[in-house]
Amino acid sequence: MSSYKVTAEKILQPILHTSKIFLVSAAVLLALMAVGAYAYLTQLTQGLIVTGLRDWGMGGGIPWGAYISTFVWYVGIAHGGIAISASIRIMKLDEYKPLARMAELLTILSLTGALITIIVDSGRPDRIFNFVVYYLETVGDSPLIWDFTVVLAYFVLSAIYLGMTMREDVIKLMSRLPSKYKLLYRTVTFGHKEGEKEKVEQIAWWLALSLVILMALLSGGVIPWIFGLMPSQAGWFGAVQGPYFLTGALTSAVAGVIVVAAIAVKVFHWEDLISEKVFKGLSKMLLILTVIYLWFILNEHITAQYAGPTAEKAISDALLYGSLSTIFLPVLAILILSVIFLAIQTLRKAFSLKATLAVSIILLLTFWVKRLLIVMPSLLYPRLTLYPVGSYTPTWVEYTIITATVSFVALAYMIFMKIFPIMEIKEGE
Amino acid sequence: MSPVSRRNFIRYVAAVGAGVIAVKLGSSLMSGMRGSERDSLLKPGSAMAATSAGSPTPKYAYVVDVGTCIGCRKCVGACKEENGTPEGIFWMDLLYPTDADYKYLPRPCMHCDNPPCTKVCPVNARYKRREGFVLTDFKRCIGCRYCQVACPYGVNYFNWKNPRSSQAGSSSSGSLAEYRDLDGRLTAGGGHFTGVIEKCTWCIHRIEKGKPVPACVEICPVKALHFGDLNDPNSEVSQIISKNKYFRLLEELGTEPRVFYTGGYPPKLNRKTEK
Repeated sequence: MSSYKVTAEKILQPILHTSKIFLVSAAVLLALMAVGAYAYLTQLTQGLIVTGLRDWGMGGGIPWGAYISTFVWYVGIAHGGIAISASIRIMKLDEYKPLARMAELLTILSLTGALITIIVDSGRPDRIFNFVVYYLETVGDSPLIWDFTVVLAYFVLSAIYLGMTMREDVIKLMSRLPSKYKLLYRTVTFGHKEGEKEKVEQIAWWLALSLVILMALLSGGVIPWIFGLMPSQAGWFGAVQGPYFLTGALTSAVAGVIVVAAIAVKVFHWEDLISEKVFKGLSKMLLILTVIYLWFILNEHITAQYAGPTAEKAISDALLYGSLSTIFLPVLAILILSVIFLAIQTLRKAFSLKATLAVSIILLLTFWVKRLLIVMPSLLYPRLTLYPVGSYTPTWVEYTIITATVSFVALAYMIFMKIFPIMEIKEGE
Repeated sequence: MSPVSRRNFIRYVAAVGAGVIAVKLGSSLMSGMRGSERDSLLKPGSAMAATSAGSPTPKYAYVVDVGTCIGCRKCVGACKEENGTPEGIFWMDLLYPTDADYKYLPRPCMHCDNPPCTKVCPVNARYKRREGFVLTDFKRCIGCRYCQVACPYGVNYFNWKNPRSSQAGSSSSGSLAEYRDLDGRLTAGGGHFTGVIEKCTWCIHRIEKGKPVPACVEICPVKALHFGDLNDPNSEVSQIISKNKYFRLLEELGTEPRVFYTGGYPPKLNRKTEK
């Protein structure tokens, strides 16, 4: 039988008790968000000139940079979140069930982060609704609109999924949940009927299936198509982008889920709820995915290097020996070292949650840098070599705004955990 | 009568949605095919060009004679004056190829026949007109800069800051009156806008009002720049293209640019390997 036992007591702990850690981290996150808000205000009043972005070509800069990388990063994390949660449901992996809702929440909040980043990157955020107004004119052609469509569909489906699978637990715990949030609980359990559980499970199974299919389409299709369909930029164009991005998305997402779950285990002492076996499974998954990702990097560079003096080779050269090697080689080293660590851990059958958490955090950050190394090089080294090689350094505005979006995601996560049960309660408890 | 069941309702909505998207995708693929048909119009002497000669819709094209250009940058200045472009923005610019049999390469917007920038625009602010102009609707652009990223020629410029505060000559911002093209869209003049993309318009405000050529062509002291109608076999551009060898920049990308370079070979585009 499965080793997972979720008691109401344990689950209610973060809801009923407010720890010092919660208050301190909430204050820190709020402060970071305030700094980000100030930075965004600066950007709104002075224009995107306050960022490190500039026109490419004679402008000598790059028009897409840290914001777009952050967007791609968020969407990647979002995918794996739901991939994990939906697989748990579809394949009935009971042992992993305590992770399901955590992963779902990570998905929804990362998607929110992605949407915020896109708005921040826009020069005219006041016109963002033009996406909707001219939708039918542009849906046939613009990869950005495909993206907008699928991200929105994804958001709606995963929100429904989260809401539906949570109703039963809220009903069960209703009497013990704090009365100040009663209105919220009433809202999420609106129209609850005795014995709806079976039907909800059925719907959730189909929703999970469609989310997994959509995930492959979105992360292996629509997001990489933003880049892969652009022959103008050497280094982007090509069919490899689909599986390459999908692997990157899943890797960073598994890392994200490990981070969230490991922190929860440490803070709430949930060692008996999320077993070590689960973390071992996740770290094995992380190992395999990182290896596949490295294999894609190899593919990319060997293709560019073998071809001879082309625009693709100039970019590969820049990454391997040129101006970008100071960023690329450390990224490569971290990926390889992570693989070595995870492999040793798996083979030796020894396991350290702290070390795995550290590796996951490092990988999450590394994948952000790797996303920047997808967006940046092609724009720095124009195919039309009549233009000079560009340069780009993100400014404090970009860093603080991006940090603020991450803080927002983290704080929203914490607040959700303070109001709603983050794990499913097992039947009969 | 039984009410529509939820299942049937969902089916209906899904079918209509899928239908709309299928039609849109289909039509965009079709327009891709029409694009290749348009190319044959460009090739002088082709059957299509002959039959459509004298048709009411002109096919504008721009010819640069790199063998004649002396690099005086008068075109760059005339463009800035005509369009009042902000500091750091050069709709017309002069490039300096190092690996070519000439020194200067004037670079307006290519006004491609298969423009990557119009395809990617999420709000159709960037669009192509039948006569060949690729234009930007300044009132619709959301400033995502996808057009800039998709264009291989680097002709797009973003207003990173308030253009009025940084104007080189204080009076030149908005010196050109707001101009709405024949479709009623603001595509030239009326000042410049923070957070919005802009690029060369081939001076549509001049052409539509009957002036024969853009400001850059008019000012060129050595007649290296030409502008005209490819549908008219007697026009200057048709004559030059039919009698001379020409190249177009990055032709292999399939963008079908409408700027033709004569008087030299294409510049070599190999970036020196970094070591």
